Amino acid sequence: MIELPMIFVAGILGTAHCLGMCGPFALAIGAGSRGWTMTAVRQVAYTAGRVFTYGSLGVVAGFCGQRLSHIWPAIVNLPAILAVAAGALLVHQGLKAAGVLPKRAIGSSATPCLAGGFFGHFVKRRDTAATFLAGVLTGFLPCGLLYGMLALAMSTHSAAWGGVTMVVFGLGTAPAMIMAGLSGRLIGIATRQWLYAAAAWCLVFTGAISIARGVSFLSTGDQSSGGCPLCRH
Amino acid sequence: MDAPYSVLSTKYSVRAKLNDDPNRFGCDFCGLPIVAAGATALEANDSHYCCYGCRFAASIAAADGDEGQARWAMTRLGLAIFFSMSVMVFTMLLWSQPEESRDQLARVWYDLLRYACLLFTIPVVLLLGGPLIDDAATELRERRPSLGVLLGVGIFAALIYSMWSLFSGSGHVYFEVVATVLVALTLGRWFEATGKLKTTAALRGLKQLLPDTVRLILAGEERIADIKQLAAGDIFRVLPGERIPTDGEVVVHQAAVDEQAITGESLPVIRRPHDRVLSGTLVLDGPLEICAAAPADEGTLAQMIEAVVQATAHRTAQERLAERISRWFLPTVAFVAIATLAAHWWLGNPSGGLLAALAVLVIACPCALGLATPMALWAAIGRAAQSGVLIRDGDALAAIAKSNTICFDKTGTITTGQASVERLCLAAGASEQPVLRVAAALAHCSDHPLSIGVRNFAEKRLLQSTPAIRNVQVRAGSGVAGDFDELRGRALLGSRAWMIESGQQIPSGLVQANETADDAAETFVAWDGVVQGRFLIHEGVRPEAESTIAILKATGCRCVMLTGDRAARAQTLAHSLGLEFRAQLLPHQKLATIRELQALGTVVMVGDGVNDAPALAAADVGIALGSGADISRHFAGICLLTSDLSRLPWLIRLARHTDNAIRWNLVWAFGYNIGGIGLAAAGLLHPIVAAIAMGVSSFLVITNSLALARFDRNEPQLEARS
Repeated sequence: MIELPMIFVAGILGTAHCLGMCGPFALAIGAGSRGWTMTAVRQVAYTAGRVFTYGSLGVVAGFCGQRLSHIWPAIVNLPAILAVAAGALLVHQGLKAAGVLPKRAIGSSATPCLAGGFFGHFVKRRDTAATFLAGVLTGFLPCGLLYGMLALAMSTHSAAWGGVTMVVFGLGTAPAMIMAGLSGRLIGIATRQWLYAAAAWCLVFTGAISIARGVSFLSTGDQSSGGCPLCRH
Repeated sequence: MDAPYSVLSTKYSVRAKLNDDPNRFGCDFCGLPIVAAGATALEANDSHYCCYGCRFAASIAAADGDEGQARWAMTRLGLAIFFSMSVMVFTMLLWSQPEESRDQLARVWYDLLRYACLLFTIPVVLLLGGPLIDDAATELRERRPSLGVLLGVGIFAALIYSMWSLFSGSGHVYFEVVATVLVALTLGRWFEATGKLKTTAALRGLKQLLPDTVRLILAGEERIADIKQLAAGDIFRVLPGERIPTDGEVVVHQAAVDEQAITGESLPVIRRPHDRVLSGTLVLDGPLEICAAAPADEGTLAQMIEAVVQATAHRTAQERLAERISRWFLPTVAFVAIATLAAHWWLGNPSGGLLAALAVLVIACPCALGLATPMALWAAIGRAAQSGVLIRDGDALAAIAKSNTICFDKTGTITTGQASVERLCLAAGASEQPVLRVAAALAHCSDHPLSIGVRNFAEKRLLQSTPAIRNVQVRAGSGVAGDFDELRGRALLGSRAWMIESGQQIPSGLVQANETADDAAETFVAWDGVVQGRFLIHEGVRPEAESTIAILKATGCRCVMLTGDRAARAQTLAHSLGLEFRAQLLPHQKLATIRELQALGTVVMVGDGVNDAPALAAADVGIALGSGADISRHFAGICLLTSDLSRLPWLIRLARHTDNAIRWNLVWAFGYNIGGIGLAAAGLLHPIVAAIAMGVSSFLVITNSLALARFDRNEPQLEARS
């Protein structure tokens, strides 16, 4: 898995995106803590919960990719198509985040949100177990970046590698989220905006690599020649 | 006299119990009727929940009272999600192992994953399976068994089979099914319960309009007292921004009052001394001192809540059908599940049969079937109540949706009800003062708008007091009669048709007099077998009448005015408004006309509720207009708290949308159950997919019903009937 470092970097830079979406949760988790140690423990527990969910989803996505490639091996080169689809999704997300494509509001006011109370309950609580569970539930929040990475995990056509991909991505998002939760406002708005733009173009780059990899699969029909075109042996 | 029903307040809902049906309770969480097949009497003091989801949601919502219990309920579910995700990860890794030629290390890894699945499934079973079994046991104890009992059996059968496979070293394990189905069921039922709570939000919102305390004025001093201490005749003060706790009459000061919550009128009205104010309305500026006309629990708002609770507690025809089907649902599903297991076993696939039988139990969702009608009805009834329309009977809402003829009473319905006498025509030989005295005495016995007009006219001209009257008889839709000592006989005040029917001679000079005023209403006063005078009365037509009738006609409804007034007057009015009319009708003729129209379809009768009770009761749906503070006295299935006719098209639109929502819910519930059970029995539906599909099914029913709770109040246009 040549892309793993790239995925980790995407996770790190994607933190700016995460801070925009899930940062308030991290701040809420840190609110009311007594002392740095307790705050750090809770932030780590929260991040561990998120990474656990990402990893679980990655395993499921990888397994699904594996099953699909077994079901239609002769008809299409499924891993290649998944890689192209994941790449397209990441590029789309990146271009949207960079402001090149228009953003669309998620959901509809006509749809009742029935799960809000459940999620909010764990975010508000102060014990470590609840904080971990808040992290587990945060991992399920709708997120374009996550969907892109899940598509990438699916393209690994392996449950184990799918899980590893998503864990690496989750770990990439961890440092800045923990620091943000610890400091409250470690990263200023201007810095966050700069990082957000960088993360957006990083997503576009990761997606482009995935598309290139998929296209190379399709053109050669030889999966062993796949991998990051920049790092190909 | 006992009320026909009782209202028991709980923290989250209003619970209804019909005295004539002791088994019918509302759920203590969502308030919806408990769908029970052959239930025995439930203890009134116990908590009752319609499903596992409501029981679970209630334990979480009890955070204010018992935070520890609520936290544990949430933590239980959160931990179960974590453990079931872990089981799913182990299962995926297990499934990823190559089936053949495993080496020793792969074999160890394979067994390790299988044991890990068991290890992480046990906490899920303990956390969520226990309450499921507990709930099933409660339902069995209350003799209203539900699918929870069968689900418990199915889930534990899958667990035991998987453990047997694990320890024997051969066969499939289904730990992921056990864990995921338990989590998905609990989450799905909980979200379903939360959605149901939202459908009854309008009713709870009405209840919250009543303040808990009142500023009583005792001996000139203000004292804050519990609202229950408020009695009729007490004087109380209401400050700006506060709601009026009970009906009453303004004694001191004046203020703008927002009555939207009760009557649906968006513009505030100024209430001055001697004006009547309604409970639940909001004082906007300036304090008011009010004399209570009734205790708080007998005010308009309390009556509204009781009327809505009674409507929601009443079973509609569609509900009765769904409940009849529900009675057969459980045994049918049990039979299909057992047959599925047996069939797969016979075909040599017992483990597949176990999964298929479990999928049958999971996909079968009596909730969607049982709640398809009441959820939509509750949402619609609550929405209507917010707009000043009281629906007292769910069947009335269903009937109005398919109505094709709307009959209107004239006086007080099409006209404003504020009649003023333009002229009194006297028969030859009659004098004004005796006629006015007798007419005023009779008019005082009736609240009919024409009587009020006669009374006001007479009071300005009378030189002597009115004579004593005995044996008064008010004949709805006709007039008033009474015995007068000074006349040594009986006198009548009423319509021309009634005069003719009762044999009173109408002098020809009297009806020919001022015939140019044919567009004026009339009423006659008679004694000694001769009509003595004729009052020509001007009635203002409601400003919204013409546009309302135009909209109703555009939807394909036939609009007919039924009046006891003479044909010439009715024709003028009907022509100007563009509707059909039947004139000179006595009450029994109005009934006959309604029955005649009923032969052609569903008939709605709209009246002011004072003199139209027989017609309102005879029609398929009776709508009483301008009920104001006296909603309890009408026999109509629907009461409009204001006299605004433009509510009618909105009401019909709401009724049609409700009818569509109920149909859609029922079609979906039936289709989902029949199709889903068929697929599951054939082994084509995995139990995990079934559990997710069950949640989606309930979500669709909830979303469809909740749309009615947000039904647009302002749009007056009706879609054309196809």
